[in-house]
Amino acid sequence: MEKKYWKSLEERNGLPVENPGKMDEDASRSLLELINEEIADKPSSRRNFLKFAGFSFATVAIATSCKNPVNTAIPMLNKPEEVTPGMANYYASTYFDGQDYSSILVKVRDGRPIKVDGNDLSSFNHGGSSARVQGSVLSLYDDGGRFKAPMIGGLETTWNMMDLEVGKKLTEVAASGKQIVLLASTIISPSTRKVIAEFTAKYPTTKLVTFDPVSSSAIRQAHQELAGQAVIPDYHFENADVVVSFGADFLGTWLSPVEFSRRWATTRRLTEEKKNISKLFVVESCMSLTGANADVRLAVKPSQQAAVILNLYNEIAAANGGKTFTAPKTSVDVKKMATALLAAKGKSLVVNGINDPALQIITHAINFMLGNYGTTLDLGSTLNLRQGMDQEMETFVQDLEAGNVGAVMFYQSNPGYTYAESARILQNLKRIPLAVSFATAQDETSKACHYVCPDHHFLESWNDAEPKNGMYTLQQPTIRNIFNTRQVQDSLLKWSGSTSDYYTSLRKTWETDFFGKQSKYGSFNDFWNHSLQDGVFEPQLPEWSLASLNLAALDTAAVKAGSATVSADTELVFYENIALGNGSHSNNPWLMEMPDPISKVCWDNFAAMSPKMAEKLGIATGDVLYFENEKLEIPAFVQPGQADGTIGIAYGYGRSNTGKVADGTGINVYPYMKAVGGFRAFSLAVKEFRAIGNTYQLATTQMHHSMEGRPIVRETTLEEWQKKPAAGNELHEEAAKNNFTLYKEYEFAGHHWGMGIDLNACTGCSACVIGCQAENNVAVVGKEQVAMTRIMHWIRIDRYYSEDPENPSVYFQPLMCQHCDNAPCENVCPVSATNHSNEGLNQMAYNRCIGTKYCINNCPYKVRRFNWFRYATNDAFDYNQNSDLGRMVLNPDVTVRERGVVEKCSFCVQRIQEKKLLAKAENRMLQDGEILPACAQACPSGAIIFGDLNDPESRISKLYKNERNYHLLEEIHTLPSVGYLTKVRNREGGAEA
Amino acid sequence: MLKHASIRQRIVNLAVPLAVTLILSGVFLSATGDADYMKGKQIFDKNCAVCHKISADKLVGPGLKDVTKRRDKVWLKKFIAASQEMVKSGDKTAKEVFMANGQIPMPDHKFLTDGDLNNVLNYIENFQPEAARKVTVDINKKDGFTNEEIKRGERLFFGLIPFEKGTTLNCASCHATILTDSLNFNPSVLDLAEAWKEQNGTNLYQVLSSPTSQKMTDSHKGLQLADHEIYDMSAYFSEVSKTGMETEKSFPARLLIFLTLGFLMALALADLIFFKKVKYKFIHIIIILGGLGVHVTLAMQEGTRLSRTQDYAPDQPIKFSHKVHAGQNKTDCEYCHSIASSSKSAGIPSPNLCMNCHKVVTQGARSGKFEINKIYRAIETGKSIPWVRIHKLPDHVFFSHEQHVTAGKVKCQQCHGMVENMDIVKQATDLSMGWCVNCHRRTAVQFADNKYYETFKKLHEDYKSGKIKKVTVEQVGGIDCAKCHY
Repeated sequence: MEKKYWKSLEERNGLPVENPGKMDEDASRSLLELINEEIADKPSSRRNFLKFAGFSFATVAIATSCKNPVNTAIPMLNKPEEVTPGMANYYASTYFDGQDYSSILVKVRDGRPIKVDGNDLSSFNHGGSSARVQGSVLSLYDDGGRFKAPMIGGLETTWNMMDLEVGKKLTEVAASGKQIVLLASTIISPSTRKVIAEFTAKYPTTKLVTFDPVSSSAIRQAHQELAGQAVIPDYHFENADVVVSFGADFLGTWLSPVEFSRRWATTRRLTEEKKNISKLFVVESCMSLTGANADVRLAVKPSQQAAVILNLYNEIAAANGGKTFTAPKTSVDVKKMATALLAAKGKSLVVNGINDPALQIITHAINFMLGNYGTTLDLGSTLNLRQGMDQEMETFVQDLEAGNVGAVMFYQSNPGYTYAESARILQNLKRIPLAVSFATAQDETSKACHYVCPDHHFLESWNDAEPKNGMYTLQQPTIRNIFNTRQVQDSLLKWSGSTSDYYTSLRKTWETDFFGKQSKYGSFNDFWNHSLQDGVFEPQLPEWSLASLNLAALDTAAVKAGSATVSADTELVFYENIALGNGSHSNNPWLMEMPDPISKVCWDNFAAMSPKMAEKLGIATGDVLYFENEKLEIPAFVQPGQADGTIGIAYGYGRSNTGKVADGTGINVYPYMKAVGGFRAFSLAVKEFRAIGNTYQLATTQMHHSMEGRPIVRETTLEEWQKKPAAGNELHEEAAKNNFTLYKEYEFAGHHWGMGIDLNACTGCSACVIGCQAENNVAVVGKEQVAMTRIMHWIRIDRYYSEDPENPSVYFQPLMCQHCDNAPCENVCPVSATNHSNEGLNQMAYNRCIGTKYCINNCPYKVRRFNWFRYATNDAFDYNQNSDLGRMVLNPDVTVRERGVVEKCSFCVQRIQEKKLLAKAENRMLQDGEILPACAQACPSGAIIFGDLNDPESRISKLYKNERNYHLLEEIHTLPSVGYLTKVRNREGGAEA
Repeated sequence: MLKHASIRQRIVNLAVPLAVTLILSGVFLSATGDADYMKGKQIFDKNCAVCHKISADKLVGPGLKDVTKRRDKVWLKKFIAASQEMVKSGDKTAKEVFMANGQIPMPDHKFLTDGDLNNVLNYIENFQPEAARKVTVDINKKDGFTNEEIKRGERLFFGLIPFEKGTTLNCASCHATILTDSLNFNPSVLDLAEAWKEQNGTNLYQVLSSPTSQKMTDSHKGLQLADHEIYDMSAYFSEVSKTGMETEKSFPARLLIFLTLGFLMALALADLIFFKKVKYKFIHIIIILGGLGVHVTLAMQEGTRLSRTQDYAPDQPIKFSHKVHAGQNKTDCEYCHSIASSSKSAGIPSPNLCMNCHKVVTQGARSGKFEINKIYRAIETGKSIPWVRIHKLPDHVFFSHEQHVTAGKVKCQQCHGMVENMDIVKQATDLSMGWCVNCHRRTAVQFADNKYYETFKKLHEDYKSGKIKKVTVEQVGGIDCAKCHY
């Protein structure tokens, strides 16, 4: 039976789809003002005609009669040997924003970092990255947000003055015996810890408080009780045949998503040799990226989770002969889950994202009983991320209020925004003698600090990191500091009275602590240079210690979980947005405009509720809700898959004092995420809420690119695929049969470029979207324009739903220009601005385009974009391209498009040209896999491959021969150069559970 | 900007009032009977001013204010003529003076006549401080000159006013004053002005009196400037450094042809319709058709030339001659433009690369030290040299030197012309898209020699079997849009 796929509820129910481009009166007016309201409103008259004609002629006359400008070409005074003007250098470095870690490779062109990608030498992310890593380079050039100099009381000052004043205050505070608190997010740098130790030696009352806004302290607490050490184990998804996740969005946001995506994706690939894929169960409240990729997804209220986990435990324990506990009944049938887990003992994994130690203890007890410690759970090389314990923060706030704290210094931490009761901190900052912010860019906390000692951006800094026990990476500056900033570590060293700078101290740490861990290099300089060049130093990782867990804590935990009752109230669930994370990157316009992979909304957060609940309450998308007790006002969004009785809201929005993009965009919900029993809670039961009658426009890209119900997504189940590899892809054969033409076909004498996407490996994380944006100078257009279907992204992730709207199956499909060999766009262009190259590229010559948009109309994939405005240099689009500093991020190898031309994916032709030239210069043939378009390079799970279809041995040629391969709308004979592999789900026929 | 062409006219305009002023001032001076004073001043300035001031201040010797009141005039004359003899002969006062001034002997002045000595003493006695006389000027002044001072400086520079201390030299005969297309190795007036402006604490005296190269010594022989001349020249330099130099204007022949023909056509048309003076209508028609043809041709030519810059040859900040370097000295192009084989751009050499040779070669045969000094100055001040860019493709074209030089083995001269014969580099080709494409159609790639092209299997077969003689860039896709536009 043909399955019905739908992109929105209106479409599914056959309701008329409201034109998303319809704007309210005010919004469209403000656009017209760009011309001239007076003229635009008046009827055309002879006078107006003459005015316009005269103006146009004069402009043309002046423009053409002007002489060519005199350009200067100023060489470097003393060219360093490694710098070649016009060619890029790559530096290995480290990205760590206090929450997410990646080993990175920074592309530096003529002194400017312009692109950040994953470092393929790192065994952590293997060249993969996330949207935030890809976008991080833009924050370097944040003109409005970044601090330009040290500030005392809001006035710029010098570092000497700062050192004098802060030094005096520190001595005073230390003498008074009060605490000097360094409040930081997780610190994973061994050398920075040494610097802090040195500082503590000088000021003994110093105390390091670690505060992670998105805390995983329950996992640490659970292991404290189970294994005697407060650690987060490393989760080896690549070894697991069955994965059960309780609210842990490990493909999107949980702990280390880049690494986990790659690991999980390896278990989802199907090859000649590997004919099995893993099975993923997800029990969650909001539709997360992991839930969207699940084989079996169960939507439950947060307060239901305890019962589900305990029931699962009981099933496993019963089968294993372990101790069982009384568990409340639950509507969720855990039997299938338990059977699957028990069948994959030692090769399964249960993960839990709920910040409740009791539930974590039960979860890890399940893992222990399944024998997963040592195979999929690693207690040797534990994760050093998210070291914060929520209780520490609570203690600090109490100390601060009690007057025990004399000085606070904020490093990579912004509790003024992320702490639930931020007023308790901010109010007290004025009262204590010394409040220092080390923030790189303005934030809510720095506003309340008398002293601001701005840190370098991470692309300007020296540092190191130990993301996992025994895995070390280095961070190196890729540009000299743009503003008058100073590294935190240097500030601390200076205040400690040390004469050494941080670079020296960093080298010393590596010499004393790490040099001895290897034997490859005889001299430290050799070791240092090689480590710096590689970016990573990975000696033998510690053994996976199979801890025998102490299950004594289980009893209390189980009793606690067993006594939990399911709340009858509606529950708010706070989740992390894929693009913005915890909100520290909210001022990044690329990330702000990245559509959420699930909801396809950008530029806002919203209250997501299930279709059933919305229908019951009479609420539609865009209706503004008001929560009485919480004083929270937020627009509603009907989200298929949201658990009934819950409302999901993303944190990371609603910032203030950060910059033009983030300020006032969305609603801040951190104030509602208070700690319960010493652990931050990510859900909250609410009594009363109502729609207040207003509506609010959410900018969504969901309806823009509808393919009108054609067979785009093709899927099958594992069982059927094993029987017949072409299952679900029968149409491909039929299309191939009908594939003939009367016209002369293209001949591709040399290369014929093609791209292949494994829909089984693609998780929808959207790293490719931002990677493409950074590589190809794609403009940010703003919420208003997005709502008018004018988003400029060259690659988008289409998301489809099927089956039950209360718990649908979700499909992701990355879509870029398909480079059809029989392209409908090419033959409608009146000026031949778009045509076919002899390498199979659908090429686009901007300087020839006259903007008829015929090609856009004729493209069946809707991948072409029109430049309605001159986004670069236009102050109406105040994001990054309209300032000199913001434009530094532009890739000089890609044209910045003018107003009035059409643009689209080029298969990163600049990279193709570059690598072809490299092959010619080295007098050799091109290697398969040498050319990596930006999307393929960014992909953490390796779902995108690119290569030459003329080479029968290339990976892409082999992919094309795969029975799962199909092309979009192949029946209309456009002959796309992009192939997709059918999605294979590991489930029995139809929906389960 | 000053208009050099009209200088003569303005001289005439100004000559009469100037002459009147000069005569009047002369009359004034002689009327006060101050000829002796002037003689005394001349002698004093020449012989005494090096060591003495007429004030209470000591220079080398004592200040001479009121010296005629302190000492007897006869004693003074004797002392001026031969002071050391008096000291040795035991004159008490002379001895005292000698000891009081650090035992520095005063040179003898026996060549001065008694009249001279009287004049000098008279001058010292009646000395009027500078303010009253407006003779001394601030030769270190760099800005804020009056228009008249600037014009006087300009005339001095052009030799329209002779130098007081008599020399036949004039500056403009060597130092260029307008931008031209021939290379004058001497520093132009703008160069001079900028050098003058940059060097604080020095003035033209010092520059001229300590020539930096043999060439400069030879060409400035016998040139001595008076204070006020220095001052006026400074005024001119200050103006030039602000306004820059003028470009030589070419005669607008094409415009005249265009307008004349337009006028003729209008006449023909008018005659055809209204006046009917000319009997034969074919004359009108020939004029109108011919004129239209020329008009269209001119418009097309000018139209295609818009924003194209063939033959562009701007003045560079250093008078660098490719003819000298690449032609006579046979320096390889890639010695200086070293990244042409490995990068998109060919690269403009850094000043430190220039130093590889110019550490040793410190002066040029034609340019002296002035031009080469600019390299040293760049390195000393840390400010690189702002070369004027000649070859510039539009922004939406991506061109790689590596592709052409390394992969294509194209000679530099093919696009840049015979640079080794150019003193001033000019853009030899129009760098238009048609020019690129035509070359791509004709030129063969390194098909047999470069292993990369093994990808083109069918072409290889044809090539081996002799079916095709060469494989052009076009055949491997060289005229596809996305090869250059992306």
